[in-house]
Amino acid sequence: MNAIELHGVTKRYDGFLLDNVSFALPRGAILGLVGENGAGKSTTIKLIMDAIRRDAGEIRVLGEDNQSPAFRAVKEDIGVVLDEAYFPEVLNATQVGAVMKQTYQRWNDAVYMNHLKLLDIPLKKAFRDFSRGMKMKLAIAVALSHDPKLLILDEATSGLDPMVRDEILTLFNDFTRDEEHSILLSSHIVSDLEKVCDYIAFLHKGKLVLCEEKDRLLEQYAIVKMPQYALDQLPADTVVSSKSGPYAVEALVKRDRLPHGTQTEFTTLETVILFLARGGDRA
Amino acid sequence: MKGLLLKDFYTLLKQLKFYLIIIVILSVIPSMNMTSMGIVYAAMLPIAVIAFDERSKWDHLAVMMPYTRNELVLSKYLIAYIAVAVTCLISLGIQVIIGAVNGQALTMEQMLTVVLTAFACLILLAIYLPFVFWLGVERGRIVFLVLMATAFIGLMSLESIKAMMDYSTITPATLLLGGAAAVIVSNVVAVAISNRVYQRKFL
Repeated sequence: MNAIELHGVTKRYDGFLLDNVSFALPRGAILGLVGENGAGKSTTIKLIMDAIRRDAGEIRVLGEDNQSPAFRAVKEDIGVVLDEAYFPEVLNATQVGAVMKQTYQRWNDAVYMNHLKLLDIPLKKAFRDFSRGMKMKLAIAVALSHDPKLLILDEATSGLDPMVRDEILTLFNDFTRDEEHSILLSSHIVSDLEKVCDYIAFLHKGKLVLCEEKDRLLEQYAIVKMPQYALDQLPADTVVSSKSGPYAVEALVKRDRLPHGTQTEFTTLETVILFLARGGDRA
Repeated sequence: MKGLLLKDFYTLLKQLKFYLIIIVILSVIPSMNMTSMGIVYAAMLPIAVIAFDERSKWDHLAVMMPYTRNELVLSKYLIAYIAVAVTCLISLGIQVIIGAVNGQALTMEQMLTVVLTAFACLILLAIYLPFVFWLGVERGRIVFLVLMATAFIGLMSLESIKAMMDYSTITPATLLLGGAAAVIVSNVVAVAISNRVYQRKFL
């Protein structure tokens, strides 16, 4: 069963179109929603939470249509962290806990206090005096303290120092040890997604370029470096996209189309995504 | 809803201390117009709360929590209702104490002025708050100030309530019932408009 399903979801704004997006996040998995700034990641998250109305398509979250009246109860099972949308700045962590206790039926004070301690968040300091890292950590502590089944995190790791990012990614990994728990994590920092995600959905200029298991993606594609004439001799449909350098051409290729024995470079998810984006631009 | 009200209470906590001092000062000044100013201040509190919400983009987060958009709107009206009611009680309480010290009982005119001022402020709330939801705090505040200037002239005339009552056939009961009806109708309409405006914000 899927935690999130999107079928043909479309949203049009002036100068932007989220175009016919379909993907699914299986339960127990972490799906990374990757894309450049303005690709449509935050719009997709808002649509999933029914914070904005879709123009077309269907969205189901934890088995429920997100525009049905029953979705309000489903929100009890969803922890949300948004980029640059926070608690009012005059509140402190203790007050945030008291407000959330009245918001979520399954709010657990002990779990919240434990997360605050673990993440080293001061109890009485006003939110406006928090660093961005502390703000995110508090938001994550809140998201984890009402026994959620699904976490939806929009750019939760951007702008954080590597230590804090690592700390937070460990928390996400711990969360998905329960096979009923799932995470949708949007980011433009592909290296973070590579560390924790099982699936990658790549949005580019409002279109879904791919949604694939991360490991399969790395199995499917490879980077090669060779002279242009050698690249031209590769079988048709092998090269997905390429970049010319002074001495050689770097190209993203389909591994299964490569002739046996062709030397490939060390391939990361980030390079695959970058080349796919470039290929998409040319298309 | 309790969570939203608690959040608003915490947001106003620092201001509330200042606000309580202001109400007490205004209430001990022997002029009903000054008490009226305290009630007007109470009706303004949603602007302060919405300003804090806007600054932190709280609404974007709140619509993803188990709250309906209607609850997010209604909570702002409720905070004003509670503040106006508390201010009226404090004002009347202080005047009872002052009256007791001076050996005078609270007059019908004093009570009527407080209640009618509260009604006027709640009607003012019903007019300006949909504008705040529609235009945002900055421009909504300008609408409020224009309304305030108009209302202030009206409030000044409340001083002559006793004179008006002496010469008019309108009884206090009629004034209270008419005022209450106006408050209910205007606020029901205002909440409905605010809901509609708020829904459109998240299209």
